Amino acid sequence: MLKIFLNFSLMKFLLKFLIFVFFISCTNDRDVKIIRLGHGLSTTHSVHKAMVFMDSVIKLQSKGKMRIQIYPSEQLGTERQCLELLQIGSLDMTKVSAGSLENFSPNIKVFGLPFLFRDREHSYSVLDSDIGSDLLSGTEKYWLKGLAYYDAGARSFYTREKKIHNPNDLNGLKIRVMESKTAFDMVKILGGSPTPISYGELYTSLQQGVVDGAENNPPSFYLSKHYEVCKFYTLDEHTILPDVLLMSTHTWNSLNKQQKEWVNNSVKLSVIEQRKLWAKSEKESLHAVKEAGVEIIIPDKKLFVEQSKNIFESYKSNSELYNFIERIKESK
Amino acid sequence: MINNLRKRLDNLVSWILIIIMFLMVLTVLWQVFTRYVLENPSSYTEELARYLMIWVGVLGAAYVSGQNNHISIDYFINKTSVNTQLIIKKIIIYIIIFFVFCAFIFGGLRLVYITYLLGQFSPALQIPLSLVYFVVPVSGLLIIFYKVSDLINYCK
Repeated sequence: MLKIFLNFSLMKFLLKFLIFVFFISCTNDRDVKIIRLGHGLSTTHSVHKAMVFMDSVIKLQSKGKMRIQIYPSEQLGTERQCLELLQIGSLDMTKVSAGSLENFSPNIKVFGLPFLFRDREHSYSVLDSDIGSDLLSGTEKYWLKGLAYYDAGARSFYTREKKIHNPNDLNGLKIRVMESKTAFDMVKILGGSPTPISYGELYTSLQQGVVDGAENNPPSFYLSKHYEVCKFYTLDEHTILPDVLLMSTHTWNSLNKQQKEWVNNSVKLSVIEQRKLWAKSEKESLHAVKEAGVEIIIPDKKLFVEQSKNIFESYKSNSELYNFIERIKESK
Repeated sequence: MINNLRKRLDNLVSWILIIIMFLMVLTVLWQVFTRYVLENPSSYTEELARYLMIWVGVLGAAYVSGQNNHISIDYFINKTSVNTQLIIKKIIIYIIIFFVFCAFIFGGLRLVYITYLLGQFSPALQIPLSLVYFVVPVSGLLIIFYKVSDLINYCK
């Protein structure tokens, strides 16, 4: 009898304790709305810095009622996994490259086409215009609310041994591409042979000669330390592939009007901040790789444009995508 | 009756696993061959091998649960009497069925439904991803079948 009684009071105590613990954990975030943001870049990257800036803006605007919690360096998964988490509703926000997003929202493929934009200014004006916002809102169908574009510069080829001055130099070279169909087609049409390899394995693949080169923007070339292996960087700027900031539609719909406004405002400010940071980091990384002994080649871009212009025709059958191509080409 | 069905199912699943494993070996060999001999690496093999690996893993988990070969610590359970062992085993089965129902059947079907609805395709092969994820609810059903038949056998 005593034994049962003891057990009973023990149970009661445990139950009270659990309820107590449950309630303390609740009071902390009852009136602070926390948005969780996962991305794959390191904390030194300009995108991450802009996100930290975004958090401070939203904190200031909402007087501490809303915060953005950032999980960098693929802590919550790769870009693809983060997008899936957004669709399921397990994660609130993420930043992915347009190259990853095209597998979820087909119209985004347009950014993967080579020499779509005449120059950087053209790309900024398109992204800021209704063409950019049309493409962003197109992702909403796939339960991903596009918030803004971050600058990710222009991608160029880098190689181990062969200098690339014109597209003919690419003939027979194995070039690593992202898991994206447009990147694959782009390298093919320029004459190289595309090889999809995951980003994490790229350094050793370059070292062992599994591929002869890869393509990326200057800060990634520098931060990934691929310049230690690849000594030639050809600034042909074939694709201007932006990063996209997205929110889960589940989260977006759960926010009230005021909170949506806070998000929109802070995103806008962080985009401006990020473009500044990006320009700075681009200059710094080019300088740094030059210091490290990389030869930077500035080729005649016209040759590359000429070689790849037929790629647009192959998208004629896809009228929705082709419409976007035409709109971008016609815009100022 | 149920044990007869179980044997047939075991046979079927093991053959499916053997075939997938065989395909996986072929895919990886083809990948190495194209990369080092033809010097023109095939673009879809890595992805195919990855998806086959997912199928072997998840379907294999169901098969192994049918064989009762999953990793477990039986040090403590072996110290108790036979009757207690039976009770504990039954409780374990109920817990497994509950978990598999929530995670594999409910969660898995939801995942398949979302990827199907949103029309997600794999980058290289362009196959619908819902097809790849479909293995999760299938494997969940298998596990539940095995565990229910275990339960029936214990009650006999």
